[in-house]
Amino acid sequence: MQKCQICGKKEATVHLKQVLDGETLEMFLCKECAQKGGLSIDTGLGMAEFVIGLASAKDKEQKRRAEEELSCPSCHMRRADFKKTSRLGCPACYETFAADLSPMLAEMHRGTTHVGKSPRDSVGRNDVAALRKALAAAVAAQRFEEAARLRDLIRAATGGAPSGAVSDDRQ
Amino acid sequence: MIVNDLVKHQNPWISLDRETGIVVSSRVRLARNLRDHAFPGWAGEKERERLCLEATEACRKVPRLADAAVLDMAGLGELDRELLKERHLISVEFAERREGSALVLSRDEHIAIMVNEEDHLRMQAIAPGLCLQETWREIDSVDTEMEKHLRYAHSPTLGYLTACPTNVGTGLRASVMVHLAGLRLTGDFDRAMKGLTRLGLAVRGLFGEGSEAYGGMVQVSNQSTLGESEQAILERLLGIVQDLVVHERNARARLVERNRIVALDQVSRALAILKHARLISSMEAVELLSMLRLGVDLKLVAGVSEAGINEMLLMTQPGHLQMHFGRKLDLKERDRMRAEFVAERLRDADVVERRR
Repeated sequence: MQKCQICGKKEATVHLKQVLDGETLEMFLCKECAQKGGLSIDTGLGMAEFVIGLASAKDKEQKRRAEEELSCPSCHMRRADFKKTSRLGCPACYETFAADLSPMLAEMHRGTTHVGKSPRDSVGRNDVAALRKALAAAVAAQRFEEAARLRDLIRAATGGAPSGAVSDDRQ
Repeated sequence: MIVNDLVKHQNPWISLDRETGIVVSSRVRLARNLRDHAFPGWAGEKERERLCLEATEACRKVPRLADAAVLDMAGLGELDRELLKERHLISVEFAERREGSALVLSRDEHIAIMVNEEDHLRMQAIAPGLCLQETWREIDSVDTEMEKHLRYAHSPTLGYLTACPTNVGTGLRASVMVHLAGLRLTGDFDRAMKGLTRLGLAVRGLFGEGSEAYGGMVQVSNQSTLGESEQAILERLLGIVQDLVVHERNARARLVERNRIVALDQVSRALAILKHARLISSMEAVELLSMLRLGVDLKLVAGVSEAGINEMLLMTQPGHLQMHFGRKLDLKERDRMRAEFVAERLRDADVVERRR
């Protein structure tokens, strides 16, 4: 029997299989880790939900320590630099410093998800297929904040309709 | 002076040829950045210069900007910087820029694009009076054209990505300049400002961020740029400004009905100083001219028009004053020449009710 991919200790009794636009993603989890991630299995967003849930259950101290050493891979701005000037270094910083930015954006603005004009060559808010692709990429790269926002956009665009296939082999 | 030619066309943010009343001007600004480039505050000089070149070349391809002037900030003189600031075409921050920044300015002064200010592109359209929707449409179409030649940094969840998180999303800051001299006199000004802040709007003085509301001239703008569409932002601002205008009109009406002598006194004092003082500072000039502007609206003053006062508000500012007299002036000289200038312009102006 396969071991849980998260804790590596318990036996994997939950098999998550998701098919998104022809792409198949699979995860093998033990019951505890599945529950820790808040797995929900009936909206087709189960895997994304799980990964997002897992992120919020992470150890806070570990997170804080990692954030202190945080620097943007694109422009090398460090968290300390951002804190000093309140200005970011490059577009990629929005992902790098997502954890810092989320509460700031909620405080400053009337919403935390963009509504309005987009450049013609970009992913539109209602382009659900493209959004799902972006979500899969975000989940794979463990960009939890971005994944959560994309999940909200997809929900808004589809009215929460299920579309992925998820099976639960819990014994 | 490079800017002299543009200034000669006389089409600034404040109307020089017609009345606009309580709403002096409207402005819509969009912040945009290019993909895969560091923001201007973090990028090195070489990177800024490369981007500046790319951005200005893109501007030249936009039909609306076909006859636009491209001003390299490295070569711009002090006086030109002052003039551009006073005409609300560049920010105080941008006036300090040198290498790696440029200003693209349409011939009619309505469209100004700052390249490498806080963001790669700060595009604005500005015009006299209350015209938010038209101003938005102008800059929106310039933005759509620019988009054909540049790749913007944009995320489906956070919208247009900007150097400062306060601008992310729509990157839109819409503002309206209003003349609230009536509310000042009735003592309701501070309460009105608090009300605007509570409604989520930013309130600034005549000279932008951090400036005092001299003469009751305030710029009202949206604070939030994320979570609302551009139309929603504009409509909400417009609604609040319209209410504010009614509020101001009522204050003026109350003044005339119940406290005419106070209004008459304040306007008379302003006119007397403007006509007879020998030294007037730029701040004092704004206060006095603003009171006079109220006097014209309340029909207490004759011999000068609102447009004439608008022109004085512009020309009494340091840069414009020096341009008018054709030479650099130190502070004392400016205060003296300013007094001369307004006294001359107000030669035929007088309070309508003369004492018997």
